[in-house]
Amino acid sequence: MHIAAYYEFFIQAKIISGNKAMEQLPVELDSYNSRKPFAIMSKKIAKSASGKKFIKALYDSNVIIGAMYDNVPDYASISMIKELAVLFRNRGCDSIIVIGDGAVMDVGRGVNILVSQKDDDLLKYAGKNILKKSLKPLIYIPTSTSTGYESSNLAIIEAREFSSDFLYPDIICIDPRITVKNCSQCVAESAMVALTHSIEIFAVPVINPVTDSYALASIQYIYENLEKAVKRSGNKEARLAIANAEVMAGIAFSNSTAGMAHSLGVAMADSTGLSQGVCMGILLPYCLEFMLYKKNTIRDILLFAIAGHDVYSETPEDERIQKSFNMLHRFHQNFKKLLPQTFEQVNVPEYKMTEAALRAAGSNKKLMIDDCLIVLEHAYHGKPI
Amino acid sequence: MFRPKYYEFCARVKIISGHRALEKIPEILAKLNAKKPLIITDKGVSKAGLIKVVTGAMKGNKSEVKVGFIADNVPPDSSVKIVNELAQVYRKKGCDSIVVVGGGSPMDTAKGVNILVSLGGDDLLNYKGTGAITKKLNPMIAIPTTSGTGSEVTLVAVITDMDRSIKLLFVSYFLLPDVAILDSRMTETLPKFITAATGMDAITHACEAYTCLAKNPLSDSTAFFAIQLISQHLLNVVKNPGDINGRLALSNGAILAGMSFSNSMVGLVHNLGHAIGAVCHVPHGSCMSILLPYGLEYNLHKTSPLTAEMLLPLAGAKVYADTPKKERAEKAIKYIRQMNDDLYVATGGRHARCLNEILDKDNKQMVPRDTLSAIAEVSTLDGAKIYNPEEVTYDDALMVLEYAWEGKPLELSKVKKGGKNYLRQ
Amino acid sequence: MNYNVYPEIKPGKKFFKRIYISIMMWVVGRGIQAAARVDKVVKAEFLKLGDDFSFSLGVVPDGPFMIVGTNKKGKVKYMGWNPEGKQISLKLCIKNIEAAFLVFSFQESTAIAFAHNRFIVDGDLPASLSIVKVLDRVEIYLLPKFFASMAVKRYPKWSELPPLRKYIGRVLIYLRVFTIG
Repeated sequence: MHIAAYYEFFIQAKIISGNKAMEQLPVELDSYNSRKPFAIMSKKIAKSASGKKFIKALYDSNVIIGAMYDNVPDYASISMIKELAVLFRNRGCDSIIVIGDGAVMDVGRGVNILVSQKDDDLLKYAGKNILKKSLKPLIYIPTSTSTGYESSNLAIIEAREFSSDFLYPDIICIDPRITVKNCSQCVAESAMVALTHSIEIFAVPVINPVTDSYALASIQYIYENLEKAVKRSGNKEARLAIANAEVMAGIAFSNSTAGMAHSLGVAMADSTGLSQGVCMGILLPYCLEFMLYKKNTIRDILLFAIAGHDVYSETPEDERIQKSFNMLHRFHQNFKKLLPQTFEQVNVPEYKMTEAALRAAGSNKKLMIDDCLIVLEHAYHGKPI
Repeated sequence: MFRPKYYEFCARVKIISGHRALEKIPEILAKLNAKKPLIITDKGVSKAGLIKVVTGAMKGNKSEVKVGFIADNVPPDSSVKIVNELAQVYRKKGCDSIVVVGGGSPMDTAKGVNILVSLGGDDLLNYKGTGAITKKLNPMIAIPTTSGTGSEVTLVAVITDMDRSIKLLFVSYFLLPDVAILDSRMTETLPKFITAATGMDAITHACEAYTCLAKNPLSDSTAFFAIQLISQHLLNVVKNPGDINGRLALSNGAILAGMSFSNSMVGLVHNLGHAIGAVCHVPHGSCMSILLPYGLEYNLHKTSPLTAEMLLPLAGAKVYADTPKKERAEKAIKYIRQMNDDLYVATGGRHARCLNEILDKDNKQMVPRDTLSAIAEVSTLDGAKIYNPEEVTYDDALMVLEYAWEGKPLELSKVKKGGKNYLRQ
Repeated sequence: MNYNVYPEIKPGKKFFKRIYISIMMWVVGRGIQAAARVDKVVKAEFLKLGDDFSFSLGVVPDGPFMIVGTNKKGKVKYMGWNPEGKQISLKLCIKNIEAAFLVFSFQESTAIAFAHNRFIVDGDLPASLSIVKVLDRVEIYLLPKFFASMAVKRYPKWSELPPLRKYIGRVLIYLRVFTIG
C-alpha cells in the first residue's frame, strides 16, 4: 500500500450511534456548556413521532429545548433562516440540534452562522473559508436518507455555497428510533449515493488511509444491510446500519474529490429530474468499468469491502477488480423493484444525456465529454463496457 | 462485520501527512489565530536535529510565526513538576499555542501544559479524572517523532505525580491536539531498536482495539489498515532506515492505530504492560511487543474469529487463503511471534522476545522473575482490564506473566473461561 | 412566523424508571454494607481502599444516588441517597436514566456499560476498579445465577465460591439488607 505523498484529513464530528444514543446528548451538550438547544426538524419526519421520541430522550436532564421548529421544507431559504435566528436569540438558546436530512441541515448551518456571528446578513459569509471563528455547537441527528453532505463542511442555501471547516457538525447522533422512519425507496436511493461516494474513494489515485477507513466501513455496512433495510417491515437494526453508512460515506467524501460516477450522476439528476441515487446507482458500475478500460488504477481492496475476508483472499489478484464489478452489478439488480437498472427503463431522451455530459465535464475538470457520452450510452442500454 | 449495539467514535484531529508536511505549519497556526508557539520536546529529539527542521519549516514566506521558546527538557516519563514548570514558561514568554515534537512523554507533557495555560491555575491535580476539563483548550499542533504511540490522536494524558509515586490520568476530548503532522523527516533517523519497539506498540494498539469490548466498525477499519501498513513495512524499514515511503507508511499506521484504540479501548496487553512499566520502568513498546501474542491467546476462547480475521492484514491474502479456517487464529499469533523474532535479528538482539530478555543499557535484566508478583498486583489497579473480553484477576495476570517471562506460548487449558461472550454475533 | 406556535419545551421525568432504579440502588447499597461483613473478598477490597473512603453511584444530574463508605470505626456503611454535604472520594456517575436502567435491568453488564461510555468516573480511577469488583461480587450474592451471569464477566466456579457458602451468604445478606443491617 503506497501512501500519498501528501494528504489532509479532517472530521470535526464525534459520532455516537446505537441504542439510546439520544439520551447521551444532555451530557454531551454539557461539555459544550450548553443547556438550551434550538431544535430544527424537517417537515418530512415531523409527521412521524420522531419529535416526541426526541423530547422523551431528554427527560430527566437539565436541558430545556428553547424551541422546536418542525416545518422545514425541501429547500433552505434565507428568509426562513433569518426568522429562526430571531427565535433562537429571543429564547436565549446556546446550541442547535438538527433532526432530518438535506435542506434542514443547511437551514441549521445558516442559523448557526447568523447567531454566532451576531449578524443579519447571511450572504456576507458565502464562499470559501470566510468564517474566522468557531460557531455554536451543532448537533446532527440523521435519518436513513442522509445525502452525506450533512456531515461535511458545505452548506448550499439558495444556490450560494458556504464552505468552511467551522460548518462541520460537532456531534452526529445516530439513533435507531429516528433512522427507522423512511420509505424504502428513499432509503435505497440514499444508500446508492453513499455507496457511490465510498466506492469511488478506492478509485482515486491519492491514497489517504484515513478516508479509506471510513469508506471501507461504509461499504461493508451497505452490503450487509441494505436488502434487509428496504423490506417492508422496516428493520430497525438494518436502517440504523444504513444511516451509519451514509454518515461515514459523507465524511469520506468530504475529504476526497468528486469521482466520475458522482459528477455524472449529479449532472444527470439535474438534467432529468431523477434522484441522484437513481442516477448514481445506474452509472456506478459503468463508470468503474470505463475507468478500468482506460487503465486507471482501482484498488483491489474494493473486493474486500464488498465481499469480506474469505472471498477477497481466495480470488486471484488479477481477477479481484472484475469480481467486484460483477458483485456490484448483481447487488444493484437486487433492488430492481425500487431502482431502475438502465436509463432506457426511465425513458431518458438523448439530448438530456448530452446536456448532462456537458454539465459533468464542466463541473469536474478531470472528465472529458466524450468519455461521459460513452458511459452514458452504455448505461442507457445496459451494455457492459 | 461486527455491529455493536452502541458505539462512540471521535477523531477530531486534523491530520496532515506528507514528505514536506511541516511547511504547512505557518498556515495552520494562522488559521488557529496563533503566532507564538511554545515548542515542547525532549533532548533526544533536539540532538537529532529535528527541531531545526521544524523551526526551518516555520519560516516559510509570509510566515508571521515567531517561536516563543524551545523547551527540550522533558524527561522520559512525564511529571507534574515539568508540566507546572513549562506552564510558567508559556505564560512568561507570552505564548499562544503549543507545538509538541516527540513521542509519548512530550505529548503527555504538552497536553498537561495546555490544560493549565488554557484553564488557569498552578496545580494540575485539580484537573485529574474524566470530568474536570470542560472547555476548549489553546491551539496545539502535535508532530510525532516515533511511529508510534498514537498519542497525537488520543484523548488521554498520563502524568506521574512523583511526590506520591502515582500515575495520574487525564481524560477529555478537549485534550486532542488541533492538528497532527506526519512528516517522514521526523522519523527518518529513528534508531532501529526504537523503530521496532514503537512499530510493535502501534500494531498492539490496533490488534487490541480489534478484539476488545468497545470495538466498532470505524475502529475496526482503522485497525485493519493500521495492521496492514505496519506489517508490510516494519521489517523493511528496520533493515533499510532511509526508506522514507516506508517511514511515512509506518507513521500513518501508527496514527490509524491511535485512532482505533482511543475509541475502542485496549485490554489485557496494556493492562500488564502498564504494570511492567510502573514496576520495572521498561519502555512501553518493548512490553507491548512481548505481551501481544499472550493477550491474544488469553482471550482466544472469546475472540478467536476476530484473531483469525487479523491474519489477512497481518500476513496477506495468500497466507490467509492457504491457511485452513480453524488454524487462522493460531497462525496470526504465530505470525506476530515471528515478527518479534525477525526484529530481534534485525536489531542485533536488542528487540526482546520475552520478558527475561529485556535488558537495560548496562545489559542488566530489567524484569527479574521475583518482580512478577508485584507486577500482577499493580495490574489489578489498571483500568484497561475492564475492556478486556475475559475477566483478569491477580492469579490470571501472574500466570500470563510467568509464561511471558519464559517465552513459552500460553497453555490455553489453564485459562479460566467466563460465561457470556459479548463479541459473538 | 408566529413564534408562539413553537414554545419552549421542558422535558419531563421518567417516573417509573426512577423509582425502579432508586429501589435497586437502595438494595445494592445495603447489600454492599452487608457483604462487607459476610464475604471476605468484599472485606479485603474495602481494607485496601482504606479508612475514610466513600463512593457514590448515581445518575446525573439529579439522581437517584447511592453512597457507601467506611466510617471512622472502619465499618462499611450505606450512607443514604443524598450526596450533598458528604465528602466523596470517588463518584461513579451514569450519564442518564435510560443508561442506568440498562445496567440495573441487566441489559448491559457493568463492563459493557463502561465500553458503551455510559459512565463518568470522577476521582481515583484505580479505586473504581475495586468498586466494580465489589459490585460484581454483591450481584453474585443478591441475584440468581441467570441474572448475575448477565451482569458480570466471569461467574465464579464452584471451587472459587462453593454453593453452600454462596447460599448462606445470600441469606445473611438479604437478612441484613431488609432488617437492621
